[in-house]
Amino acid sequence: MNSWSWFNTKFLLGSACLATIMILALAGNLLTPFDPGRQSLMDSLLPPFTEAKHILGTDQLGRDILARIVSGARVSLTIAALVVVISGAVGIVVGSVSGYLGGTRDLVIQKVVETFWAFPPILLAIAILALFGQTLTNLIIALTVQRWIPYARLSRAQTMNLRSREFVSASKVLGGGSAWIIRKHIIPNLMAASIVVATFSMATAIIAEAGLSFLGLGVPPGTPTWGGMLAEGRSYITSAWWLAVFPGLAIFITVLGLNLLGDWLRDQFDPKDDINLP
Amino acid sequence: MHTATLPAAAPQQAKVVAEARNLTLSIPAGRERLKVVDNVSFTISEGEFFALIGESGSGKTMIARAMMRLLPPRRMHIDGTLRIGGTDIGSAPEKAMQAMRGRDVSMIFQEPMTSLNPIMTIGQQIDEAIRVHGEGNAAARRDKVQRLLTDVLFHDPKAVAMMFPHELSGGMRQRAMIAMALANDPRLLIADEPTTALDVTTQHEIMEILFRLRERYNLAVLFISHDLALVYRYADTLAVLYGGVLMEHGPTRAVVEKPSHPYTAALLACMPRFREPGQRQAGIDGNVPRITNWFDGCRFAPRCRRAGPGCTGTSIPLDPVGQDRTARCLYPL
Repeated sequence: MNSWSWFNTKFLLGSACLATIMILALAGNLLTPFDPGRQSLMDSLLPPFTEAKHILGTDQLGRDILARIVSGARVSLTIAALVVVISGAVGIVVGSVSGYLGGTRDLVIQKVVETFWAFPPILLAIAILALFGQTLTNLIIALTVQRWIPYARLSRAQTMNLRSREFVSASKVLGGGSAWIIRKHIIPNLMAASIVVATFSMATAIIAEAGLSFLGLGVPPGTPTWGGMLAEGRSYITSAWWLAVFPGLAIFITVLGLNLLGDWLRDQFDPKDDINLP
Repeated sequence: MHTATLPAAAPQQAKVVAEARNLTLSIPAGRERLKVVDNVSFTISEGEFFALIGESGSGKTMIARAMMRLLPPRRMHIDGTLRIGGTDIGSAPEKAMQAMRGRDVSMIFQEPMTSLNPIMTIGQQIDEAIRVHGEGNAAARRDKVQRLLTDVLFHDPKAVAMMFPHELSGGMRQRAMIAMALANDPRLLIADEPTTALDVTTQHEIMEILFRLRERYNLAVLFISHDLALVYRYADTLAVLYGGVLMEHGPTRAVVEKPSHPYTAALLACMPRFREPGQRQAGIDGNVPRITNWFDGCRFAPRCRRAGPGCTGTSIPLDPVGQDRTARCLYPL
């Protein structure tokens, strides 16, 4: 198998899914003229594909579904991206420092990591949002609080391997200190694996954000989000399916796309793959 | 091929760049401490090519690591004196060691395949090596990278600077490593078996480069090897290590022409070029003593044909056996 084949089903399908969502988020305004918050009770619960103006129909308050999905895409993707970047940065730094220093310091850091890991993720998120209030910052904290751990564990394991590599000793004999070596030699070598983790982590972040919004704990009320739309559409599922199905589909496509792309990336970076090369 | 003349000994008055006096290294093993290097003394002067010869397990790499203090003091205990430039390695704070590494003393390793970071170009890595000790000026750094690569005989330094390690052969990587090690103009370069992983022709290429650099920059080289046949044509001074103890020490020409210690003589006899036609290749019977059963007397005695009374008793002193030469033997040749 050619390792860097771009014409790979996973890669093509995954990037097609993500491209769809990205276009929706960036250029959605061209598809629908409506403001996601504009109510029009005269036009409530219009079914999709019947009226030229409301391609995906309207909800119980006459708001355009497509406009709300577009707006929700921006919110969801921004939150998920922020969560992934912050948790990745924290996890990689904690993991590489822990793995590089080793000894007692490593032990202490690992106990802290395990303590965080012991909490059920959704419970911890709910607790944070309930205690500190429902703001965008708190939502990002709630989603990040456990998400950095996979990066930390992976980075630590890889660092312990990298630490004994000779190019690290070489940097040391040239006068590099621990901070220098971690910054210049360890972290760059952790990026490939961390990007794979990040893709999967972004998918779960989107689901978690939708889940919290569904429970009414997500972004401040009033902001259209996919999870919030699902929650609202739930009561109409028998009479007006489009209220819940389209946001559900948006979540599905995004998560599927991220998982396929993550899978493909993992195949690319997996060193074991090289053995199968012709 | 290099002209096979033996270089003369370094002049006596030269400035000392490294000095070990009664150096003993020990590593903790359980409750005890295992001595890996026992009471070793030598000095390396500016511009001297100093070869430290020994079999596996003789402690030669431990001396290199101690000079760089690559292991923290709790993992390797340094007794006696070990000084590089003005720094006392045994007691210097880690900050001072860091400032010294790469500038006063630098090092290259055995495995050129893994000594370079696979995701950085050669140019970037040499540039990094310069920047460890201060950013300086970007254009000056670029010029220096080119000069360093030219120094290690790359014909097209610009192209090499843009290559990744996997694009280079083993010998080229080792040359790139030497360029990196010299990035901050060290006074002493420790080369820990830098040619062991390379084939014979490349080995001599690396030796030639080290030899030229020493001439050009008055660089002192501590060359660690098990291969007497490789180094005797380049080294000014030979120190033979066996079982963590210095067996013989002196100017290369004198030692090779007339070894005093039976171990040195045995090593020389092992070199294929000294084999008599029709004779079997010489070897040394027996094995290097295990570190756990080192004893006070001469550790080579069990394998030595000249061993006599007293050899396995108390420790043998390092006695002068000629001009600038010492040997640790009761019955020198």
